[in-house]
Amino acid sequence: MTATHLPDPFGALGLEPRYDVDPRALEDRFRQLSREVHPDRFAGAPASERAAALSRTRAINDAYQVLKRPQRRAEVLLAQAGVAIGDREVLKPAFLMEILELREELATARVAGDQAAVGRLAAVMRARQRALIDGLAPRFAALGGGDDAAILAAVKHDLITLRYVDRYLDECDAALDE
Amino acid sequence: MMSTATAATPQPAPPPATGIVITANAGAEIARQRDKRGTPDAAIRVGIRGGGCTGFTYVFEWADELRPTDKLFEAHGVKVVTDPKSLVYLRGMTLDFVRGMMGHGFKFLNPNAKGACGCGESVQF
Amino acid sequence: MLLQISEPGASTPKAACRERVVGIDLGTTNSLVATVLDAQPTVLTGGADAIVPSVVSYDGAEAVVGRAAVARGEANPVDTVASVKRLMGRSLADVAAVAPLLPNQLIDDAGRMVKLRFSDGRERSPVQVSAAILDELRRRAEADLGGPLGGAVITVPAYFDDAQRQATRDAGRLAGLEVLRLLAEPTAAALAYGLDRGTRGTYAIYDLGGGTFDISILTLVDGVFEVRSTGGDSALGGDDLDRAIAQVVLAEAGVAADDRAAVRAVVGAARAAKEALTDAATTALAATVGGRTITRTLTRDELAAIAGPLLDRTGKACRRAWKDAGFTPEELDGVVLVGGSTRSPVVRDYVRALFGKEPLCELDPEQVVALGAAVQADVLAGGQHDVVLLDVVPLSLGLETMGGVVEKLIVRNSTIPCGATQTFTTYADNQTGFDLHVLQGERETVEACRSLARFTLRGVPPMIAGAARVEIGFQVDADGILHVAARELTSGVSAAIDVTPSYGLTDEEVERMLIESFEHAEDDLVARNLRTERVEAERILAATRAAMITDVHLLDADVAVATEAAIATLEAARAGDDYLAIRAAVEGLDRASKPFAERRMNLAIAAAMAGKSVATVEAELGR
Repeated sequence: MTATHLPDPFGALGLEPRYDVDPRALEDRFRQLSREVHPDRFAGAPASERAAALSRTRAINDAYQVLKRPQRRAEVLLAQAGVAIGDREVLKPAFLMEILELREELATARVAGDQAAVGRLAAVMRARQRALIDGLAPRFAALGGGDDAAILAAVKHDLITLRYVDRYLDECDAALDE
Repeated sequence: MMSTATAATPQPAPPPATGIVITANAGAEIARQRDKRGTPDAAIRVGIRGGGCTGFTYVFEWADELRPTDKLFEAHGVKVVTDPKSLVYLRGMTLDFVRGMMGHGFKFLNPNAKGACGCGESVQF
Repeated sequence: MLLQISEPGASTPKAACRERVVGIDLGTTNSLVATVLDAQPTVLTGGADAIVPSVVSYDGAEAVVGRAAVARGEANPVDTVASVKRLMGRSLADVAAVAPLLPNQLIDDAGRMVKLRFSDGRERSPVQVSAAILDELRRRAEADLGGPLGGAVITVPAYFDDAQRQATRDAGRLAGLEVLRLLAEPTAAALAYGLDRGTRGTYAIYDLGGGTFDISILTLVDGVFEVRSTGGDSALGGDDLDRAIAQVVLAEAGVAADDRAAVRAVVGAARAAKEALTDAATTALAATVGGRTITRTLTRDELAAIAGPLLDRTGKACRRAWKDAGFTPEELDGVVLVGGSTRSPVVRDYVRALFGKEPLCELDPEQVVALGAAVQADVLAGGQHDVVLLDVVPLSLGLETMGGVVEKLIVRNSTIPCGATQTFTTYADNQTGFDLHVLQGERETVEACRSLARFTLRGVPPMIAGAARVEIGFQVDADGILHVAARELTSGVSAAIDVTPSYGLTDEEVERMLIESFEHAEDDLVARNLRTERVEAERILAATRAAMITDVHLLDADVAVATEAAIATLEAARAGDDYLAIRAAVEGLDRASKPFAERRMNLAIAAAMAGKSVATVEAELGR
């Protein structure tokens, strides 16, 4: 299963495609556009206008959902640069081993109902997530310096790693919710 | 119910039962909008006209020029005029101004109205 | 209706009348209906009480609603339904915990939505029972407003899933209401609060009702109400606290907890005691069980101890919600209390401690949801308000993939309306069909999520394994309800979809119930459809004409000719009494004016992106 077409979320919000988006400016733009085209504002309009408002709003909402998350933003930029993340990307065996061990620790803590241990594991992984995301900005900033292929490959690697990290954190959240 | 404040006006307004009563709130708002419009002599024309789903709708607009047959009502320093035909259906009406959470506007409290449609934008007599 | 002063000669008779629209809070314990009168949201009473207990008692085909139903219920418990909201969109297995406590006979419908069986053998869906409550509210509103309703916004708990929302919308249709929108209860409350106080900032809405708990974090900026996250428990409320108190009392008295009549008597006494503790620190609880009287004093501290585990469940949802929103409680500008259960000092103390701030409760927590719904109804009916609500999907939506794992297509807290697509491929040669399973929930396994529907996709062209590509599109509408579509990409063939809702009713079932119900016999249905279509036609004609005048420069000659022709067709149809012909003509006008609508929308977007007025952009575009 793969995501098919990636519509251009930057275009939907009328923004220049770049990684370092100012979150406040993004929010303001989202609200401003919503105010103009939200279907509620066209409730009394002919169906053709209501349909147009609905599809525009959907595009705006979907774009905002993507762009407000640094990771998703990075994925879009990577795809736009022609670098795809496939279904069967290979990571270093050492990393996979480490994740598997951490998963086992989490499973043990979860079965034992040791919420404190789950919390500790989550904190460690969250720090790692932060570091990976923080590392994306300088990489994107360095683009255009002649070594783009290597930079994009590094971004891709980080994004794949982040998927594992995110999944792990989802499991931590599920364990903490129990 | 509502004061007509006739003492302050140069021409006496007709008694409430036969004329149009302007509340203090309505008077103040008309005066405010009149000043903003920059037409110190303008009156407000009220009336009825055919249309709407139950037969009639209200006319509610600025009157820069008066007609010879117009009936004039004055209170709180503002003027309201109506044509004699409309007056038959507006006799005893109170013009009020209200503010709510969702906005503000003028309200016609018309004892002659037999019913209003769901939206209240048209009236039946 | 309030009037504004027009320029001379500009008072135009309205071509079409707006019918009255209302907001309805369809609660577990109580329901209310409100409307905007003279710019002020106002609760309607229909000459009776503002609050209608959400209780329906059946005497054969006859339904009694509200206080009369409560009174009748004492002698006819089996035929009297309270808290039906807990059963909406739920199977018998889902409600196993509360079923033994209800006096009603619940029956399984092949794992779909539970049904109720009454003493005369009739069976009814919770949707029909809810429709009876809505019908009563509609009657009250029509009595107050002196005419038929144009439509209603009905509130649902923010945490209601797709099945529960669909069931609520079906109930509205069954009650003869045009459901303008399903609105999340905390969002409705925020709307009433925000407009009343001119608030801006980020607020938590803590909504503890009779049977549901919701928490929403919203940002209010210049009329835009953006829900940032929502959470809750659609089976947690004041009712549960009553039962928890009753369990303590029953255990002390040595009465078996499966004695239904005893449990009901003690639950009633527990509720009364709980309510008494809102004003008093100590109260007496008394209930008659099997001829003997159980008495006990109950203190506020004891109530707090009993409520503790239930309140902790709300606390957990709150913590997740502010985390999802990216806020800490200190960063929030306030927490607003909504729902009858928040009257209790025990709940207020808990919320104060949890958020570290004094909760806000200036507006009546039992009325604020209905008032907010009335505001939204007014906005949707074309009242000129600069208000936009941006609500979210409360629970992630996904598809079952190989191995019983759920792949999320739309994650929770996505702003609605929204959409997502996913492509699947065939795993066998010449495979022409797919079985798809749509789920809602946060967990990764199918068993831990809620099954919404199963789809069978047919007509995929036979190809070798992996060659066919089927795109599944999820679209969530502004009511938070999911629509699914599919097509095969290589051949461009739209695959047929058979939908079997896991809990909801099919359109045919709703239509059948409508026709079967005595009050909406077929003639009524035709008359109602005709009225609805005529109003719609008037509305569309007025809107189209207005747009053609204001934006005449965006209207190409050929589009103008086609639109004029479609207008003429619609006017002719409107004069007749064939509602299907009117509907077809409305659709025709829509098709004809579509290019014009697109251009108008483009202009609005361009202006918003440039942060300019539409007029400025028009000037720049060189008109």
